Amino acid sequence: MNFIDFLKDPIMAIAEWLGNLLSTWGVSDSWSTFILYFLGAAVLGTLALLLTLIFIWAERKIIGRLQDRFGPNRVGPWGIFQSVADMVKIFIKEHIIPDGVDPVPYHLAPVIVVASVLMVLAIVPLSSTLAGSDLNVAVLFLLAVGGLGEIGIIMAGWGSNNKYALLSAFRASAQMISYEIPMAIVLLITVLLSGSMSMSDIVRAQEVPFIILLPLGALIFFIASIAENGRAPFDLAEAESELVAGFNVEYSGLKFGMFYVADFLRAFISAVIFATIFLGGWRGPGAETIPALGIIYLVIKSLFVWFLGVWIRGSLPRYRIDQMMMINWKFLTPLAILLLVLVMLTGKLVDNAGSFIQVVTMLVLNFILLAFAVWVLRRREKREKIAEIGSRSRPVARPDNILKNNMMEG
Amino acid sequence: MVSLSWYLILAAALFLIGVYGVIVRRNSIAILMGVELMLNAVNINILAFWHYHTQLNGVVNVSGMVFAAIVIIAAAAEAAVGLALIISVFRRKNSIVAAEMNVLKG
Amino acid sequence: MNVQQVIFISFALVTVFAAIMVVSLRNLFHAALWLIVALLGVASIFALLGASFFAAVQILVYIGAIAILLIFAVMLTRNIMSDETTQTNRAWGLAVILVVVIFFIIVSQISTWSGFSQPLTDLPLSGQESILALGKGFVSPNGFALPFETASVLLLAALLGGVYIAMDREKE
Repeated sequence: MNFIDFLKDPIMAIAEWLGNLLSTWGVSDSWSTFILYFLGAAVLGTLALLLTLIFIWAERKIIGRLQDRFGPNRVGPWGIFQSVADMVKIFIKEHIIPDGVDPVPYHLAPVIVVASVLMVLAIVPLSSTLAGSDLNVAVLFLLAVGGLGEIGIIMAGWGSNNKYALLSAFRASAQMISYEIPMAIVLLITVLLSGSMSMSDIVRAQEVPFIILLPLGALIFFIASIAENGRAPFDLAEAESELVAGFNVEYSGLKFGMFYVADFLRAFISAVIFATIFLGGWRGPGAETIPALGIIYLVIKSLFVWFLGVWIRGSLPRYRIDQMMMINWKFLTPLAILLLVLVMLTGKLVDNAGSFIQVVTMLVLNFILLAFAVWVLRRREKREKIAEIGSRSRPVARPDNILKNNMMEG
Repeated sequence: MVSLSWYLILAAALFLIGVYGVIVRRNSIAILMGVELMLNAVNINILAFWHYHTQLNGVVNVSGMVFAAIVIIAAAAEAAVGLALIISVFRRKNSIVAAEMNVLKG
Repeated sequence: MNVQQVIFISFALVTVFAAIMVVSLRNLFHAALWLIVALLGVASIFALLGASFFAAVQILVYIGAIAILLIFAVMLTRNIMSDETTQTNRAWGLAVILVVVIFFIIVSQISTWSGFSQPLTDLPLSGQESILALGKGFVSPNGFALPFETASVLLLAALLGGVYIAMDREKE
C-alpha cells in the first residue's frame, strides 16, 4: 500500500493493518472484529469530546460578536485556550452533593445524557467507506437515542431532591418528547424518498440533495432539532433568570461539565445529522474515489448548519412554555403531516416522469405549503390583534400611544 | 452458536418473574410493571420463533413480525389507559393499593 | 464459547437481574429505573435475533414513551405508599414456590419438542428486506391489513379514553 493510497483513505488503511496484525497473532475473526469496532468507538467518542472544546470557544466568540462584544480574548491569542482553562477549572472543582439526593439517578444522569449524544455518532456515514455501523434501521435508532436523553434529564431532576429541578426536568422532557414528533415525520418523508432507513442509503440516494426536494421539511427538521437540543430560543429549561439553571442546578464540578459538554456537542451532532440527511452528507466532487475528501465535505456542511444554529441562538428571545408547545402541536406537527401526505400523493403522480420534473414538482409543492402555512398564521395573528383591541376596556399606556390625547385608539 | 432453547428459557424466566410481580405486589403501578415484563417476555418468544421459521424456510416470515408489532401496540395502549385509570382512582380514594380498590360503587 | 454466546449470556443475565430488581424493590422510582434497564436488555436480545427494527422500536416506544409515562405516574402518586410499609402481600412465599415449579414444568415440557436445540444462525437477509416485507404485510389485503387498522383504532381509543379518564373534572 503506497503512500498515495494511504492518503486517499487513511482510516480504513489503519483498520486493515490492525486487522491483519490481530489475525497474525492468532485472534479469531469475530473477536478481532469486536476489538476493531471497540477501538473505533473509543477513538470517535474521545475525538468528539475533545472537539467540543473548540466548539465551545467558537460559539462564545461568535455570540460575542453578534452581541457587539469580543468574546473570550485573554487566555492565549484570540482566547483559544479559554476552553482549556474552563476545562481545568471544572476538573478541579469540588463535587458538592446535596443532602438527601437519590444517589443512583443523581450520579448516573450526566453519564446517560452524554452517552445519548455520543451514540448518534455511531450511525453517521463519515465517508463512502467509513461508517460506525451500517444499521439498516439507522433513522429509528436516531429517534430512539433521543428518547434515552429524556430519561437522563428526568433522572437528573428527580435525583436532585429539589422541587425546582424537578419542575424544570418535567418541562425539558415534555419539550423533548413533543419535538420528536415533527422530527420523526420529516425523517419518514426522507425515508420515503430514498426507499431505505439506512443512513448510507439515504446519502447514496441524494443525487439531488433532499434540501432541494424538501425545503419545508428541512426547515421543520431544523426547528425541531434546535428544540430537541434545548438551545435558544427554546432554552427555557435552563433559563438563567427563570428556573435557576434548571435541572442541573444541584450539579457542580465535572458532573455539570458533562451536561455542558452534552449541550454543545449535541448542537454539532444535530448539524451533522442535518447535513447527512438533507445536504448530501459526504457527497461532493471526487468524494467517491477519495474517501478522505468525503469527511472534509461532511465537516464543512455541518459547520455551516451549526453556524446557522449559533446565529439563531444569539439573535432570538426565549419562548414561554405555552408558546413552545403551541408551536409544536399547532404548527409543526400538522404541517409535517400535511407535507407527508402531499409528498406521498405527488410522488406517486410523477413517478414515471423524468427526474427534473419530479424535482420541480416537489419544490413547487413545498412552496405552496409554506405559503399556505404563512397565510394561516397571518390570519390568526390578525384575529388575535382585533380581539385584543376590542376587549380592552380601559386605556393602557404603550410606547406608541404615550403622546396621544385619546389613549383608547390602539 | 446460540440455540433456540436459550431464548425460550430466557423468555420463560422473564415471564414468570413478571407473574410473580403481578401476584405479590400491593401497589397498582408495580403490578403494571410486572405486566410490562410479561409482554416483553412474550415478544422475545415470538421473535425467537420468527427467526427459527425464517431460517428454516429461507423466506422472511411476515406473520411473526406483525404479531410482535401488534403486541407492542397493545402494550402501549394498555399502559396508557391503565395509568389513566390508576390516577383517576387515586384522585377519588387517595390510595393506590390494589387490595383497597374493592368496591364497584363510586 | 464464541462472541455471540458471551454477548447473549451477558445481556440475558443483566435482563433477568433487572427484572428481579423491578419486582422486589420498595422504592417505586428505582423499580421504574430497573424496568428501563430490563427493557434495554430485551431490546438487545431483539437485536441479537436479527430483528433490528424491533430493537429500535422497543427503545423508542417502550423506553421513550411507556417508561416515561410510568415514571410520571409514580411521581404523581407519591407520598401515599411510604417506603416503610410492606410492598408485598402475604402470599409471597407461595408465589415464589409456584413460579419456580411452573418454570421447571415449562422448560421440561418444551424441551421435548424436536426443534428445541436448533442453533440459530445469522439470517441471510440483506438491508431493508425484512422491513420491506413487514411493511408490505401490514398493508396488503392478503396480509395483515385488518389487524393493522384495528390496532390503529385501538390506539385512537386508548388516546381519547386516557385523556378523558384522567381529566380533572373539578376544574370545569
